[in-house]
Amino acid sequence: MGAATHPGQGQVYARAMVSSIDSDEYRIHGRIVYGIVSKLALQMDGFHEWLADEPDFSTGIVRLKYRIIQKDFGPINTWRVSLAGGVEFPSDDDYAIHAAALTTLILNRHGLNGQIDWKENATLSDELMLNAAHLYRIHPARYSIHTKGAWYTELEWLNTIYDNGDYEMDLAPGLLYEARRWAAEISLRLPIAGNYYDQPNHTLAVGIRYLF
Amino acid sequence: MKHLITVILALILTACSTPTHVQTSESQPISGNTVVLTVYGMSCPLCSNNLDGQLDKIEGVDSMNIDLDTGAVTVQLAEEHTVTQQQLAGAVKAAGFTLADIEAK
Repeated sequence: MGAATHPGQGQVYARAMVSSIDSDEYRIHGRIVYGIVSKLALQMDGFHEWLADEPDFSTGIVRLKYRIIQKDFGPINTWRVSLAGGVEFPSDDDYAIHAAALTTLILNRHGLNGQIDWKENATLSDELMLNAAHLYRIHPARYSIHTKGAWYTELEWLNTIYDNGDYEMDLAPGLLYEARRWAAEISLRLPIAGNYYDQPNHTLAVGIRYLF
Repeated sequence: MKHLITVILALILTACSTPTHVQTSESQPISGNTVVLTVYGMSCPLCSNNLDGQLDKIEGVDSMNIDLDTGAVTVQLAEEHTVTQQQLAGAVKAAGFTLADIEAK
């Protein structure tokens, strides 16, 4: 899920994630974010899926993300809100429009992310995604001038509601390591409720991030 | 008597006038080679690298050290430099953080 964080002006942030869906389908997700100015970023996502019983599927999303609220109230603590909007160009020509609001709150060792994302599809059911995540810094308990990296646990709560009444609700516990220039993550997404016909039984994802 | 009144008025006017501070202008080169910035909102190691990237762009910045716990960013400047407070403040803003204090050492 997203966060209300942006790369600095003129900086590039890249992320690559590989997912195994029910052990017989695979997805690769690449993301590049460019900081146009500190408040405005251009985000490009590309996905490719190798599906078990259907042809491969690719899609790309181009979004602009604008930070509307930034309250830094301590060396670590901050609250930020961003709005994002863009267009998705899938290989099956069913283009979609995305509009989202994202918020991030950091309080010492705790981080909270919230995301509301509306996806209006040209022909398929429209989707409302309501996501939230909690991060907890497990090590170091306190930063210092010698801190080179930090370990976090992450728990994501991911919901997709389709306008035909279908829905998916998943939990994704994970582990994240962040260094000064790169990060690595692993998570396991598990369904906890839903009636969507194609809801996976599990999705294992590993990823890396790099700030240029 | 006239002289005494003139002296008293002069003293009152002097006392009421705005004191003159000797200040380094924000657009003048910083005197000395070490500056400590106090920066708010650097929540994680990866976030702080945004500031590294912005400070690196400033000619005359030799190195920097970031203490995420206190937000203290110690910037080492070259022996002969033309770096200004304005440039450092701009770098913090461009990185997406808030500058709480700036102190030349």
